[in-house]
Amino acid sequence: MMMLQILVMLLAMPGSAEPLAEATRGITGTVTIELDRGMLRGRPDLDLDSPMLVRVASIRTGPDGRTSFDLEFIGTHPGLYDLRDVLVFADGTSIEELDPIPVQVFSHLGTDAASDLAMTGSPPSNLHGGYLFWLIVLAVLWLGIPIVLISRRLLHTPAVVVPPPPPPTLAQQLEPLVEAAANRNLSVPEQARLELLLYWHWQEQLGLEEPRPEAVARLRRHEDAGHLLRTIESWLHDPQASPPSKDDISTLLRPYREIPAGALS
Amino acid sequence: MTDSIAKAAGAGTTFAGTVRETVARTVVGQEVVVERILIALLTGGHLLLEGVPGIAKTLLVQTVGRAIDLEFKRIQFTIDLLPSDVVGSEILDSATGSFRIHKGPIFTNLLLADEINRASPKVQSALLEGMQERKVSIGDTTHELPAPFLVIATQNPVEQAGTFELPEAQLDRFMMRHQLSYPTQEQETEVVRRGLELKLKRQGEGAVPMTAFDAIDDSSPFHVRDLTAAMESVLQVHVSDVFMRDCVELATLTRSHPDIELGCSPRAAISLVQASRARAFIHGRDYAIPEDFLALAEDVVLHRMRLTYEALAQGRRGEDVLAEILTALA
Repeated sequence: MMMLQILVMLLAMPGSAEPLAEATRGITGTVTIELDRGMLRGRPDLDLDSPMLVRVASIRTGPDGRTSFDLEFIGTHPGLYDLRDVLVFADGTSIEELDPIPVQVFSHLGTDAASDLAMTGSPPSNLHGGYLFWLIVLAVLWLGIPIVLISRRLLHTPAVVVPPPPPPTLAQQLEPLVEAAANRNLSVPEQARLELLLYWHWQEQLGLEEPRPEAVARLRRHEDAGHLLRTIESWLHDPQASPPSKDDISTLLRPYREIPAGALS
Repeated sequence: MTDSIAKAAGAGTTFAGTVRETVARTVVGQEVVVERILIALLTGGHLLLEGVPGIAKTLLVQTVGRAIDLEFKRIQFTIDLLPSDVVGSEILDSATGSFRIHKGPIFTNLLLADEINRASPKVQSALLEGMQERKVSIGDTTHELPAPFLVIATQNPVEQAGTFELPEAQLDRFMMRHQLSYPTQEQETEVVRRGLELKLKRQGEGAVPMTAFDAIDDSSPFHVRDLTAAMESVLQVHVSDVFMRDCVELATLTRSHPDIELGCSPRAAISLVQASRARAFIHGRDYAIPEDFLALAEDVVLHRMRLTYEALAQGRRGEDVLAEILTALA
């Protein structure tokens, strides 16, 4: 019972007095006090980051000589404040001897909500290390990469390119077909290639510049080439002609078995 | 060579020679074109002639038709031509009150489709359908076209404004495309000289100057039955396996050449073999030889292949690419 009495007395002490005014944080609240003497003003050493700001909105002197002060306050953090902490007499002396001026600042937000009214974190665009640093990095890359690439290309020693083997000459193409024709029956594609190679060979030998159809027509009438080509034609295309023997073919093609390499390119 | 085949081969030389002589009485030069027209007639293929105006395309075709006693008609293709202007239409006979068929100019043996690329695709399509199927539909009735039936179409390669280029699928319907060139100076001199010999054509008391068309020899040394017999003989011309390999290989190589975007269809190889047979017949042979397909390759193959954009940008021509392919055949 004794303990309960002590607790009630403590609650009734001025430090835990009921607030004279309430305001939502960030919203201006108003409280009026009366003084017997002296003038009040806000503490000049507080800056805008202070959790409680106060201004003397108006001053009135009553008929009894007491002075009423209308004080406007803004709290940025929820809690119970004593405006004596942010006020001084006009001459700069403390007003600690005055009665407490409790005001309550509360918040409608949840306890886990961010409570800072002013942005205190770094803006997202504020790059780590500084904008200038990254600008320099970008410039170095922009200049450096082309320089490296160009330098590599200039300093690069070309790989030794092995030229592709030259296409086989007419003689090289003709030789195995002529050999085969003397020894065995040629397949249809081989016969076709042999015939056309002989045409191309003679066209080159005689230096015929005209288009191929006209050149072929001339070759068939040529004194040397004509006999060979007409015989081959007869062998390969004329169903009425008797097929030549291997010896006949071998004899016919003998001149083409000993063509020196490169003679027909 | 057996007697019948030898006789047929000899008949080919005679047939071609006589037609050439008849044509030469009216047209100067153009021996290659006459041969191409004969090949088209003998094989039933169709021919596309490309050339500038004024080089006697119409006169030539009409003369060949007259030499074989073929019915000849000509259509000048224009932008406002309608399919019914080509194939015909049903018209109301006011006397009987019923519809009767009015057959269009396509019902002929030899049709000259002048400047085919000037007509709309719908008209081109109607003609090409008739060329392919040898029959046309008028109203609800399908009509067979006469036999023989040959279309010789012309294109002017210079004036392309307001024309409808034949797409590849329709070009493929033509067995051959031949590019006509100007006559030589001697030939042109002869043309002018013959022009001086033309007299007046009297009509009653008036007269008009004769044209080369009036000078066409009316006598027909051959008739349709002679052409049919020649066509039969062409079918007996032998084609060896080696020759077929050459033709098929040529068509195949056009499909893999790096400068060619669209190669030849199998129809190209078929056309090359058929045309070569006819050429062998005309030259008095009963078997085809490489000279035949080499002579015809440009006319049969070039209009069936399309070069790549890169090749065209490099100034490559179809003739150059084809020459490479012919070399690669061996």
